[in-house]
Amino acid sequence: MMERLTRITEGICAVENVTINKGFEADSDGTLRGSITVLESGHSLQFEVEIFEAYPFQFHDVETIRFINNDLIEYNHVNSDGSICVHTPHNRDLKSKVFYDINSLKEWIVKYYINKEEDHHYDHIMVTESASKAHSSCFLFTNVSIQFAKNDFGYMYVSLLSKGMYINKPVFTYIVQSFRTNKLNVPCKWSKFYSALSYQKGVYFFMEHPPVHNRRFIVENWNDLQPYVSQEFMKFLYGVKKDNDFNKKGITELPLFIGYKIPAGETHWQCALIKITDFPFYSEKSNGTYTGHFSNVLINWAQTKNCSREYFFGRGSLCEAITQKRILVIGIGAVGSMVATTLARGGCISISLADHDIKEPENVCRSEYFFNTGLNSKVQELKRTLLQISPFIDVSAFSEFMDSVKLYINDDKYKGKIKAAIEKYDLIIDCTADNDVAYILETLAIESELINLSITNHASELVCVVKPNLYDTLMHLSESLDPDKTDLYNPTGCWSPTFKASYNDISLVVQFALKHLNSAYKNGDQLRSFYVKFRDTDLKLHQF
Amino acid sequence: MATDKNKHLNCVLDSHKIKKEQNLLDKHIAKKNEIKEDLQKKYGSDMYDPFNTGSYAKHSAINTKFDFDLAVPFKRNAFDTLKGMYEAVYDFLYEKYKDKATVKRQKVSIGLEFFADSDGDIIKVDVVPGRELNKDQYKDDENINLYVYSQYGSISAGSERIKTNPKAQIANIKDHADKDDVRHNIKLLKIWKVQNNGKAKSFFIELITIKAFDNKDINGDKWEQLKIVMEYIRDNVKTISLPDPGNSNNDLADTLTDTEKEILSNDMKYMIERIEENSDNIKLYFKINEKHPCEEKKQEENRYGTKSAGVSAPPVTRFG
Repeated sequence: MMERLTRITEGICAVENVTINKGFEADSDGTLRGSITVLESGHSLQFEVEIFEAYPFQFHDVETIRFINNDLIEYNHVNSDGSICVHTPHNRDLKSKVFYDINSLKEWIVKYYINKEEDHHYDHIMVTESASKAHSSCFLFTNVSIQFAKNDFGYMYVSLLSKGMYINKPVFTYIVQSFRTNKLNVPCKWSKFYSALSYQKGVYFFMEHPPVHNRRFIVENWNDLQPYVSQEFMKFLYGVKKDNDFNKKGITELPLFIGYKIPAGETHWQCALIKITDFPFYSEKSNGTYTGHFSNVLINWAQTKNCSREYFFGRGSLCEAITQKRILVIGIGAVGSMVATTLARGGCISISLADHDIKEPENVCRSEYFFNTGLNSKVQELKRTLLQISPFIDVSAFSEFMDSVKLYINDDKYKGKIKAAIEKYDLIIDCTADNDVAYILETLAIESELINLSITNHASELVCVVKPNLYDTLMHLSESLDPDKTDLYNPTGCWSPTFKASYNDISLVVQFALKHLNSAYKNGDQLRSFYVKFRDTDLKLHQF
Repeated sequence: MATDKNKHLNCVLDSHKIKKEQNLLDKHIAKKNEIKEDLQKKYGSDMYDPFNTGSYAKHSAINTKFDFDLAVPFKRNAFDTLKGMYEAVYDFLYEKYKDKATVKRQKVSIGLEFFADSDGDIIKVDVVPGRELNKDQYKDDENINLYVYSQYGSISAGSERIKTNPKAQIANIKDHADKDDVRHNIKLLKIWKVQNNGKAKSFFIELITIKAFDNKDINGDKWEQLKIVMEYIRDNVKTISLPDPGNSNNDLADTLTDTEKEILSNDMKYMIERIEENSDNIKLYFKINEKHPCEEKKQEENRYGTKSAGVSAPPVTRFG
């Protein structure tokens, strides 16, 4: 401990114009505490310093040294406890790390204390959930199609999405379904599946500016909200309090959403939770009129997140030329299921799945299916998976789609109808490796875009064929690539042999092919047939 | 087994010879003459003698797509405007043939696609109306102005700026196409274009192939020659100028957009790469007309028994 203390002290003293006011001492949990004064450009500031045991390493992505001055709380990048946000790169040496951390503190002083700089990106106001709560709640919302006006209020609706756990505490996640305004129901923009979840009531009030103290910290007491709300809203809330519906349905908490504008022109929402049995609300009669007031009690804030499509897929997505298409994936074995999950994670809005097959345990090792669902229709299981991935995708499942096509394609009475049914889709991805399907789609002269994906044994090649001449190209490549036809996997029993390849082998070539297709769509390039070949360590794409 | 590229290309050319579809050719000629007579009856002295400007006239025809273009030179005073001329000819042809054919406005022509006859044959003729530049001038210079109905490469719809000389065009291509090597390369690229939905007009392919022969030392067997032509297109199509032999102020390069030129360049690039990588790939790009296979192809089919019943099913090679 002494050596640690010495190295830290040396690091602090090595920084110009920094002095130690109060020597560092370890408390019972091993945290070092002391105080320093920093002189920067003629400004002298004092900070309490806390250095935790994990220092110089970060802990849960947070620095383990804190510089605290409660008088600076109104400045940018200061937490509610007065600690300054500083971040420095990894350094394993105590003396060097503390040297760089204090220099980072000096940079903060120049940038935000002296020059009062404003950052270009918007930081949400700081909301702290009470640590003493038995469970946490988080409400996910999306942008809606209307702009709220100051003092708008009304009912809104939320659905419980899931019950999770984080650090031994239950976390309830809800999605906001809609806001009731002017007799209109303004929905959040979730997919049909999520929009159909059962819901419960909440209330909302829209104020123009966020209810904060010290510029960036949300108010903590109900009566601090009073100046922000109208008496009409208080009357409405009084009516809500009298509503017996909550008790009947066993609802114990009412979410009160508080909306305000943020610089991007969006509405952001915070959520205060009201106990149904303990409304923080009373009314007073004065000169014959009742006035509503919030009580002097702490607000139980929940977490909220704008989960709109642009944020949900903000970190990465496929290009819009793909995501906005109505896509039909025919054949959802190893290749098709990987294609479908990649499209869903990439932001696609509409996917239909067609496959007659049943998922069995042997399929799980190299496709997007799960063991715990046992024998199951592939389309039904994959539909559920895609819906679990994205709240912005509509998924349809057809187990007899291609069966019907094959049965009726030679009947002139149905040919036109079959063609029209397929052409409802903008893009058809055929992953069946079934030459019959390729032939039928070619002879129907489908107007939609058509991509045929298949792999060879050991996933040595992935073949991607597009129009024109799709069928001929496919037949030609089937012969000319000359893959290993002998080392196939032959399960016991009466079953056709299948190819050998692991999830890793298949996903490598599938993702490479999808990356190429995404790039072609993004750049507006003409789609060409190609094959991806993997040999030794070389992965190469050959276009036709 | 590797494919002999030269033999294959010879077979492709042989299977696409126009004389192998003499019956269909005769039907096209008859239809073209019928339309010509109808137009002469309708417009009489307002027009000069219509004539065929398609690939048959230029000796570069293939038997899977007959380019039968009927140029119709009108006199200067026959119509006030080029647009008026185009629309009047369309209206006439539509009324005359609507029960026998699909009549549609195209870029500079009016397309007639006759419904399948009792043999299942479909005859297509494009009528290209044009007007002499000044009164009686056609007799001297054979120049006409065309109307651009819809976007034509980089030329806007509604443009009246295409002046050309179809007879000079025919003479130019015919002169070059009478040389076997030039003609064979033109035909091979037209076969590729027809089989792969290429966007370039036949006239564009004819001119750029001729230019390749003008600028490159092209010799060797069929594949060696074709490869040099394709390399020339790959490397030059994005910047090349292709003056119209009928009017050097017209640049046929303008009939493709920059994107279409980029695609054509890439078509050539990938085609050369894939064929050099595996000679079998030549069969994918240049297919034999199965209706008229060459002798060698027929012998090959007999040798491997692909036409006989009871051959063993090929093993599955692709999986999903």
